Order: sequence, then structure tokens, then C-alpha cells
Amino acid sequence: MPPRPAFRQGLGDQVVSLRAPLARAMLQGRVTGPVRLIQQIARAWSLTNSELANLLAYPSETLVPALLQGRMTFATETDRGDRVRIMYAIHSTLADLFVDASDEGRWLRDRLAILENMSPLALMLQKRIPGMLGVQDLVERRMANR
Amino acid sequence: MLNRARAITVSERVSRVTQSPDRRRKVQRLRDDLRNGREFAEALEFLGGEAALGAVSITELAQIPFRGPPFSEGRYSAGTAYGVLYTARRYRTANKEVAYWQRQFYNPSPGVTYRIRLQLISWLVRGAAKDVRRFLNEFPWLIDDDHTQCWALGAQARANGLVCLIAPSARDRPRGTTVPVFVSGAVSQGGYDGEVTFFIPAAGPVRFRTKFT
Repeated sequence: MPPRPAFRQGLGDQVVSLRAPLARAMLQGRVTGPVRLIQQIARAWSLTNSELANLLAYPSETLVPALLQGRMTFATETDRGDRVRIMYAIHSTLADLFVDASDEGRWLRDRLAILENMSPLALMLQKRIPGMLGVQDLVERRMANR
Repeated sequence: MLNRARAITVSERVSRVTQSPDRRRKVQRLRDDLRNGREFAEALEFLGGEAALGAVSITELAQIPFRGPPFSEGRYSAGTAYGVLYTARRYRTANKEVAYWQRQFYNPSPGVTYRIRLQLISWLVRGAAKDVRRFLNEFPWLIDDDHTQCWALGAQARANGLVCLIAPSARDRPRGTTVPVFVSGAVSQGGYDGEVTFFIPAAGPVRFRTKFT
């Protein structure tokens, strides 16, 4: 029997192997607070696994289910942690702005002239952290008029 | 123009439509989403603690435009050297000023109308000011979409130690009055007056409805 990988939190992107039902039960990881935030963002924005993997700079969308189910460690003190903090700030402001919660996900996919006819989501996907900061500035300073 | 304007001392309430970044509300949202357990504590720590979730009071909210650089660009500031708290004498003028800018932020599909919720806030502003409204016919750039000359006016007002201007509103003609505030300490006694809902359809004008508390 191969050695069982240890499940750790905050130490890197490690996927817990699931080779048998017993192992699945024993090795099921815990969904931590930061991962719960990612779940909230993914749900509010109706993100596909591919989009979420891209936003979080994972090399493959196949890692996303493991992340969301707590089977893969989410390292918070990394570039990925910064991405989640920015995305949650955007989500938090938008959630207060839109009366109808479902409009938040729609808006993310609307093309806007002030973003050179890109959607906010496309801007974040294409320009990564600078794009996320641009959307955060648009949402907080201009749309929320702070 | 500023030298010819009448100097006054203001002590009046002014309004602004904004999203109140109420920290308590954001913490409660997080608690609702994650429940009040271990994950909530982890998420709060990850986000930087409660202090990272925004202003806690309306007084603190008034300081945000003055934090920079960079500051927000607006009619009376290019956003590079100083910030301005944009307010209006009447809530309806504040609503109209915000409604005007909403269209560029939203592009709903045909048949969809976005409903956007902001808060109506007011403060007491006190201090030296000048009223430039009577110069509008002579200087129509006071309400022009090119803000270059208004930036110079704002810089001069600030250099002269004025806490605010009493100025014509570009979006609430002909009687609307805006009050751009240049000094963060000039406003006090912040109050939450109500909620404003903006209706943004795919085409046509942006409408709004104010619900007072």
C-alpha cells in the first residue's frame, strides 16, 4: 500500500489522494474559512471551474473541485490569497449594491464601454491582479461613490 | 472669479448619495454566510480583521475622499493633489448627480433593469466658503463636462483656505446647488437619512426612488 499523504493546511497546493472509500472517509479535508469565501464568490459570480482556476492562477481547472471540497490546501499567504481578498472586496461591495442578488453575476459579464468594451470578469481574467484592482477601484470608488 | 465671489460662512447640512461601508454590516454578512464558527474566525483573520472591512461610522465615511494620493477625480479635483467630498444642498440634487453617472457603469441586457441601492447621508458643514453660482452665465464651464477650469477653481479655493464652494449643479438645473468640500475636518454630525434605489434599464433614463428613514 503506498504511503498515505498527510493532510495539512496552509502549506501548499497538496491534493489528498482518494484511492478507496475508506481513505475518502479518513482523509476528507476541512473546508476552511478562506475556502468558504472562495465558494461564496464562485456562487455569486456563477463561475465555471475554468474561470475560477484562471482567477486563482491554478494551472488546471481539474484542481478546483479538490479546492472547493477541502481536499486541497489553500495557502493563504500567497499571491492567491491576495487574489481572493480583492475578489471578496469586490463581491462584498457588489452584494450591497445590487438589490437582486442574481444581478451581481450578470453584471460581471456585461461589456462596459469604460472598460474598453470588456466585461469586468474578462478584465480580471485577462489582466490578472491589475485587472482585479481596476475592477475593485471601479466598484468601490465610482459605483459605490465612496 | 473667486476674488469677486461673495465670502460667506456656512453652517448647514449637506447631502451625499453613497454606499455606506458599514463595517458592522459587512461583518454580519460574513457571519450570515459562514455562520459564527471556526470558519468565520478564519475568514475574518484572512481578510485582515474587522478593521479591514471598511469604515465604522458616517464620520469616518466622510474622510475617505481625502485619503490619497491618488484621490478620486471629479469636477473640482484632478485627483492628483487633493481630494474633495462632493455634497449637495438638497437630497434631490445629490440623487440627480449620482443618477447621471450610473449609466456608464451598467450595461444590462434588453429587458433587464438593474436596481442599485445606495444610502443617503448628510453632514453638517461649517466654515469659510464662497458662492459662485451667480457667475454661471459668465463662466458656463462651471457646469461643463470638461473639468479643466473647475480643477483650477477648486485648487484656488483650497489654497485660499475655503472649506467649500456653493456651486451650481450640472445635473439638477436650474436650481440645484452642489457643495464641494475641500477640508475633511469641516464636516461633522453625520447622519443616515435613507436609502436611494436607482433603476437602470437597458435603454432610457435612469430613475431613482428615495426612502427616508
